[in-house]
Amino acid sequence: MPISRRTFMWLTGGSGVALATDPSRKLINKLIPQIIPPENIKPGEWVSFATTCRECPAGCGVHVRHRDGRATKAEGNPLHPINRGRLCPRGQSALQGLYDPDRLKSVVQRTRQGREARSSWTEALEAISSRLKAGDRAIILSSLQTGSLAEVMKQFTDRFGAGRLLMYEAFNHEPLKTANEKLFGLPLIPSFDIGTSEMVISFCADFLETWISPVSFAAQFGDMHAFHGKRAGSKEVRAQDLNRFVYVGPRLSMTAANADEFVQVPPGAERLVALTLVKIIVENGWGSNDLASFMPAINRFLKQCGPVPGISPKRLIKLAVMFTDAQSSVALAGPLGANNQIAMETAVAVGLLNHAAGRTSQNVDFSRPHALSATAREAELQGVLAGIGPREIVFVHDTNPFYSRPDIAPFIRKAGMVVSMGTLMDETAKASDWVLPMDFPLEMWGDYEPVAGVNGIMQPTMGRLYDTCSPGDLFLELSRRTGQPLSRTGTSQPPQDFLAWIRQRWEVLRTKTDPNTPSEEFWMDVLRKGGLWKEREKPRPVQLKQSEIAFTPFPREQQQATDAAELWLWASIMLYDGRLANRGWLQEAPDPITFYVWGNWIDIHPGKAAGLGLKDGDLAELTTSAGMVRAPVRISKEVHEQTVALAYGQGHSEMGKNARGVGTNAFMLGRETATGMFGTCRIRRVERSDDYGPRATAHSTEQFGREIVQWAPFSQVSTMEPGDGEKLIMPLPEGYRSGKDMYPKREYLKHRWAMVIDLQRCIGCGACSVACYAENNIPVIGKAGVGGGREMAWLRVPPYRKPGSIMRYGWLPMLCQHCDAAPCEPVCPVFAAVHNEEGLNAQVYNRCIGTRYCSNNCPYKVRRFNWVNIEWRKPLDLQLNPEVTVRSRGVMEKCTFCIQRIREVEYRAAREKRPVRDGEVQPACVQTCPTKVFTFGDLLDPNSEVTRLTRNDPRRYHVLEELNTKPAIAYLKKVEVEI
Amino acid sequence: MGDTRQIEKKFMWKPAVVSLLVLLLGFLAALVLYGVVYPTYLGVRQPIPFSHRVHVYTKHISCMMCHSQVATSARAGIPPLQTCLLCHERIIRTHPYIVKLREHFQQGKPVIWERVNWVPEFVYFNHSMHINKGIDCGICHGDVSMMDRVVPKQEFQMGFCIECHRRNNATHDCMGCHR
Repeated sequence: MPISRRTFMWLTGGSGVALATDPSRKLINKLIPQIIPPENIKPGEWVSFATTCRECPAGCGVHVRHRDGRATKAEGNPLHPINRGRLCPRGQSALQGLYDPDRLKSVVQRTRQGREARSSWTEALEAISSRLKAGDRAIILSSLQTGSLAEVMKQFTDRFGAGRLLMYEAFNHEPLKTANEKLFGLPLIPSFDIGTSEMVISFCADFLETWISPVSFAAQFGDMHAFHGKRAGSKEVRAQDLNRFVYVGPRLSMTAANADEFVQVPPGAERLVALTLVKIIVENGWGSNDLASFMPAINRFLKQCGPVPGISPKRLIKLAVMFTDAQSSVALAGPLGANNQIAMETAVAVGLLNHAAGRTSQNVDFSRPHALSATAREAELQGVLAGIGPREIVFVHDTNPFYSRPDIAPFIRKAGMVVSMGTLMDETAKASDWVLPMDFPLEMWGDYEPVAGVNGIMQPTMGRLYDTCSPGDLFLELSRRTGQPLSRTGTSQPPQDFLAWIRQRWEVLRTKTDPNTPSEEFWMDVLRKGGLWKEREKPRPVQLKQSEIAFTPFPREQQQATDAAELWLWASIMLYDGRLANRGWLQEAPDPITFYVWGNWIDIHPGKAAGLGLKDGDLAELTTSAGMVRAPVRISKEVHEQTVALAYGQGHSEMGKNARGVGTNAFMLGRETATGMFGTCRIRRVERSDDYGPRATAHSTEQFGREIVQWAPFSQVSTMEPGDGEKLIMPLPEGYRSGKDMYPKREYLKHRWAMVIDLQRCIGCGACSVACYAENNIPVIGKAGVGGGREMAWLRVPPYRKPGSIMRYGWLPMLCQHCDAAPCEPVCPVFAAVHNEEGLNAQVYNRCIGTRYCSNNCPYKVRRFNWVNIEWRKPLDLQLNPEVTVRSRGVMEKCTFCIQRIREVEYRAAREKRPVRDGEVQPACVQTCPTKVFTFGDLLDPNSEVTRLTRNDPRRYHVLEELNTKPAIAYLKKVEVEI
Repeated sequence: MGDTRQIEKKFMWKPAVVSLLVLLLGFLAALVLYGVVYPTYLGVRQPIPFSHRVHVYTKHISCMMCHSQVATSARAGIPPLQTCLLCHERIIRTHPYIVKLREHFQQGKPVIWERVNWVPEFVYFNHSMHINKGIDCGICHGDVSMMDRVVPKQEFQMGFCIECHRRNNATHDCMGCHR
C-alpha cells in the first residue's frame, strides 16, 4: 500500500507524541521477593495490627488493616471495651492523617524574624539540650497523654524545671470536673453507663458526637434506644420497654435530633430544667438520696428565674417520674467547650439530679474515671503561662494552642525557645523556633489508658514514612544529651529507648494482673489483643461532700438588643476541635443536620434574622470583645431565638492545603464568660464578596410526601406480631409478578446478598460514609467540585425531616439498593451495568463508556460519575485499597456491597470447604457503624438474620417500593414514641 | 570480460552450499523451536538465571515448594531468598550465581526479578480458587518444567479466561474478576 507523505507525517507525529509524553502506566514489571519472610505475613494478603486511636481523647481500640508494608484501613477492635469494634468518622480518617501530604518531613528551624530553614535532628537536639544544660527550664504543653508518655513527660519536666506539665485540651470538660469536686470532692470525669439506662436526659451534652467518648456512648445508645420488639416472655410490648432520650439545650445538634423529645431552652437555662426536676423529685419524695439541705438554694434560684421556658410543668413532672421510676437512668451535662460558672452550675445541677435519683454510684461511676480527668484546668494553665520567661523552653506536643487559644499565644511567645512537636505545620508550629516532625500515632510505640483499668497499647502499624521521631524517644534522648538520663520510677537503669520504658511499665502491669504468665507471652498477648482490661466492677459508692451550693440567677426577662445574641459554639462530629481539619474525607463528609461540607456557618433563628435583615446565605459578622468572625448564615428554628450558633474546627490559617482558608475559626470569639454558656456577641450583616462559606450537598430535607423515611407509632408496632405488616416484594424469584414485571425473573444459585438498615438505630454520624471512602478508593473532589454536585460518596446518610415537625429528623443511609429489577441495567448500551449471579448490581468499569444513562434512570440517585481524573496527592495514594480498582475519568461508579470483602469471605469458605456463615461478610459500613444499624447477609439462607428481618420485622419497608425495583435493601421504620 | 566468467566459474558451487546451509539452519531452528534440541523458549533475562527446567524437570521439585502460598492466597507468591538457601546453603555453594544470591541474602537486598505473567490492574485473579478446583498451573502458565527462562504461554486476555470458564461451567460473573 503506498503511503502518502501526509499519512506518513501523521503516523510518525502521533506515535512520536505518544512516546515523548510517555503516558504513565501502573504496571511495573518487577517482582520483589522478601528476603526472610516475617511469620504469618504473606505478601498480597491482609494483616491486622491492634493499636489505639489517638484522634480524640476517647482512645478507642483499632485494628489497622495492613497490606504489603502499608496501612490502608482502620477498623474498630472488636475486643476493646471502649468501642467494641466500631469507629467514628474521625477514627476512620486516621489513615489520612498518616498519609497527609502536608505532613512535616524534616526538622525546621525558624529565626525570631520568621525565616525558616531546614535543619537536622542533630542540630535541633544540640540546640535544645545545650540550653537545658545551661539551666533553662522546660515546660511541656501536650495533648492529653496517659501511660508511658505521660510518665516520661512528667519525669522530664520534674528534672528540667518544676514539673510544669500541662495536658492541654481545648475541650477539657473542666466544668464537669469542678462540679464533681464541689459535690463529691472528686475532681474527676466519671464513666457514664448509658447502655443499661432506660432514660437518658442530656443537658446539651452531645455524647453521640464529641462528648467524652462518643463511639462508646453511641454504641451504648444504639442498644439502649433500639426497638427490640417484645421482650422474651412478655405478652405485649410495654411503653417502658422502649428506652427514652430527652435533650435539653438551645440548639438542635445531631445528638438532640436523636432525642425522643427536644426541649429548646435559651443558653444557661439548662440548669433551670435540671433543678426543677430535682425539686420535683425531692418534694415528692421520689428520690433515693436526701438533698434537703440543697433545697433552699435551689428554691431561691428557681424563684428568681420564674417558669421554665420551653416545657410545661406537667411534662416536667412526667419526666421526673420517668427518671426516678426507671431501673436505671442517667443525666449528662454539657456543653463541650464552655468553661465558666454557668457551665459548672449546669454540671452541678445535673450531678444533683443524678444523685437525687440515686444514679451516682449506679450509672455514674467514679471508680473508673476517664483520662480526661487529667487535663489541665484553666487556673493551672494560667499559672504556668504567667511564669514563662526567656529562660523557659516550651515544648508544644500534638496540640495547637495558637489556633484554639489565640489569647495565650503572647504568653508562649515570651519563652526563650518554643519547640513544636507535631505532624503538621499548624498555627503553633508556624510560630515556633523549632519544629520537630513527630511520628503519627500509627507509626509509633505507646500506650493510652482512656478509662482507669482499660490499658490500650499502640504499636507501629507500618514503618516510618519520613525522618520522624516518637515524642517519648525525643524526651529520653534530650535527657541523655544533657547527661541526666531519665529512668522510670522504681527502676535503676535508664531504659535504652521509649519502647523499653513501655515494656517496663507493662511488666509492672503484668505482675499486678497476671503474674503467672511469662513476660514475653504476656507482651505478645497484649499486642495481639490491643491492650489489657479487666471486667467492669460495681461502681464504688460516693458520698456528697457539700450540702449547699448557690446558683447564679438566670435573668427572668431577658431584654436583648436586636444586634446582640447569645453565642453558642459547638464542636462538629467531623472536625472536633479543629485538629483534623486537613483531612479531605472529613471536610467532604457532610454535617449530619445541614448536610453542608467544606466550611462552617452561623445558625440563626428566623425571628432574630428578620430584625437584622438577614436572609439565608447572607454573610454575617459576629463580634465579641475577643475577636470577630464572618460566616454565612443559615436561618433555622433549630436554634433558640436568643442564640446564634457556630461550629468549631474550621478557619485554619495554616496546617495544610485542605484546612487553610476553609470556614472561620470560632475560637477567635474567645471565652467571654459574663453571661450564658459562651457569652454574648454582636451580630451584623455584611456584604458578601465572593463564594464564601460551605457547600450544601442536600438541597432539601423535606420529604414532599414521598415517605422516604418512615416513622411508625410506638403504639402500633408494639402490638404487632413478627410477620405482621405489609409484605415486601422480595428481590427473589418469588417477587416476580407477570402482570407487573417487564423483565423475566432472576434466579440465584448460591447467594442473594441483601441488607437491612434499622433507621431507629441510625444516629446520622456518617462513620459508614467515611469508612466507605477509605475502603473503596473514593476520591475527595474538593470544595469547588462538590459545589457543582460532583461529590463521589457511594453512601450518604442524608437527614429527612419528619413530616409536620421541625425538630425531628430521621437519617436514611442511602447506598446502591442492588435492585432485582434495576432501572440502571436495561438502559446501559454496553452492558456495563449488569446483574451478577449473587444479586449484586455490578458496574464493570472497563466496559463503561460513560453515557450516564444508568444514573439518569436510577431513582435512588446513588450512582456517581467521574467527571475528572482525580490525582491522589502523594503519599495519599499509599492508602488506596489494592483490592479495588481506582476509577478514571468517564466511568460511572457506585456501591458494590464491598464485593472485595464478599469475595474474600467466599474464597476463604471455599478453601475451608464450608458454607459462608451468616454475618461473616461485613462490608465497610457494616463493620464500622457505632450503633449496628446495618445487617448484611444472604437471602437464600433461610436462617440468616436478613431473611428473618425482611420477612418478619413489622417495621420493614422498601424505599420507593411503588416503582417495583425490588431493592435488596430493606429499611426498618423509625419508632415514634408518644413520650 | 573473461575474468568475470572465470570468477563465476570458480564460485559455481556457492549457491548450492548456501541453500544447503540455510536449509540446515532452518531445520535446526525448527528443532529448537519445537523444543527437540534445546527445550527452551527465550523469555526475559533475569538477574540470576534461575532455571525452572532444572529445578522442576530435572530435580522434581514441586511448584508449591517455592510458590507456597498458591493454594491459600490470591497470589502464588515469589519465594523469599531464604527459600533458595534452604538447599543452596549446602549444595552448589560455589557457583558464581549462587554466590551472588548469598551475597544478596547477607546484605538483605532482594533480587529484583522481571515479571513475566501479568493481568491488567482491573482484573482480580485468585490463584487459590483455581488450584483448589484442580486447575493445573500449566493450563495458564504452560509447561514451566521445560522452561529455562520463563515465557508467558499466552497473553491473558479476557477471551482466554472466559473460554476456560465456559468449558468448565465456571462462573460468568463480571464481578468475579472486575471490582
